[in-house]
Amino acid sequence: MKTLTRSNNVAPKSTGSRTIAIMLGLLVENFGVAKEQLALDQRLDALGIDSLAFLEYVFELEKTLNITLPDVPRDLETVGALVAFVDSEVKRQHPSYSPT
Amino acid sequence: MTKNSRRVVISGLGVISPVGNTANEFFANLLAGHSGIRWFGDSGQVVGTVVDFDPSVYFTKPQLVGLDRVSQFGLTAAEQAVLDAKLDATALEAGRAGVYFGSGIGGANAIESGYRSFFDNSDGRMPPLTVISTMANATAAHLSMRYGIRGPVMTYSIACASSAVAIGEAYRAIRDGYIDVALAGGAEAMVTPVMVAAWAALRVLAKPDINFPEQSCKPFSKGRTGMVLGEGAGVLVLEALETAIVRQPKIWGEIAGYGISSDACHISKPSPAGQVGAIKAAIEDSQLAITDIGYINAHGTATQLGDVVETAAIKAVFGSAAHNIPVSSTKALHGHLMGAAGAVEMVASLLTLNAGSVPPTCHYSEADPDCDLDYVPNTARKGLDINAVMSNSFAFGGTNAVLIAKRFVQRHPRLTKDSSNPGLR
Repeated sequence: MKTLTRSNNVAPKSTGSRTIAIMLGLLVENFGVAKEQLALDQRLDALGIDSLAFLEYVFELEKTLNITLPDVPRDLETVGALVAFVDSEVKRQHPSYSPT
Repeated sequence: MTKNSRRVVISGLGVISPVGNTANEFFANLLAGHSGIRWFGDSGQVVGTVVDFDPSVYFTKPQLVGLDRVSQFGLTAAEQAVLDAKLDATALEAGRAGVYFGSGIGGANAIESGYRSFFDNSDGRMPPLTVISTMANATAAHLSMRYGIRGPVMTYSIACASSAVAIGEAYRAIRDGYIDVALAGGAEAMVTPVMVAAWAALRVLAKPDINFPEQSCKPFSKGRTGMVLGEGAGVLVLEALETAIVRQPKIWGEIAGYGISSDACHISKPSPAGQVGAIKAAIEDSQLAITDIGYINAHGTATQLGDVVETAAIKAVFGSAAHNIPVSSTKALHGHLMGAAGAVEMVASLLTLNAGSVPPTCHYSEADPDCDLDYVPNTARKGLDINAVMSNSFAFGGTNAVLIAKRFVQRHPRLTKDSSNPGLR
């Protein structure tokens, strides 16, 4: 089972804007998405995030945010929808962190 | 379409190797005796690694998702070959095209990362694309997708003979009329800590030369101590002559013969009888006389037994003529590229055929009485008139594959660019 104390991960100190920044940053750094394409209403597939890239993206989010995302809803088609879901998971799994 | 009815030519070459990342650079370094063998970190082992290969030059970040180093090599070498052959995407998509590809392991880096992630972390976290990065047919599948190739997309995992078999089977498929054009070759990227340790445990790796590590691999030389692991890729465009003639690319040669056999006796120990069978089969298929063979690119791994057995097999087939044929092992310089070895060494053979220059067997210091052929020691031999070349690939598991190429000679003057030949359909 996953623990929340992995030393090589940096747990978020706050959620909300920090989650968004990390998520958008990963899209740029790991998946080559142009910054000008980033928008919360942008569809993930339009950014080149196909089903396999999505798995890799979720894997990176789990590592970076120190959370587990075993059941990502399949209807999260936009960046904003995924951000909202992931941010809710960060808050649920790290309740001690104060929101922004 | 009757068997053996079509001539098969090589119209494109691509190489990623420890001694160069284009076919020309690769061959120039072979002729110059420049070694790509280096220390592998602090492992105490030497390896042939591909350097100056920046994946971001060839692939976008989305393209690199789930793309193991072995597939990066294979795709990059294939792109070189496709450009060399002047093939455009339309021709491959519309034509009766296939992919025939070899790899001994597949995505060794991905599987090693997966194991490392699983065992190093208390949560057993596993990179989600480990399976598709690792599977042996990943490179062939990526080639199919990149070029829209919808014919046979085949993967041969036959250890050291993988890509020689791939080329041979592509040749047969074109010759016999099943397809018109193929991307044929292989890739390997198993220079990883675990794989190097595994090969070392088998006690077949060369003892590193402390003072001159780049000279650690000494095929056919007395005092040789074993093979050196290498990585890279070789891809050839094979096609029916009537399709190539329409585009008029440079034709590097014609596949003349292919022979394959199995030792059926030991999982790793080579057999002279098995190797003789493959060499004879290739020569018979080529309909050439043994005196037509002007160069043999040996399997020549530099193991104690392997070089003796190969020497014996060549002498058994060629008789006294064996001593008149230049035989060299380029593995001294690039290492053993395993699943890519047959293809990369076939490229070396084809460039030898075209240049009339034989790459040397480097790091040769002293004759071994049991290895008494002309191994072209240490210095390239230039200015030769070579009509046909042979490349040997002998695998763990006992599969032996031998390819023969001959100089391309146009025998059908009526086949011109303006003829009514169908081209790629």
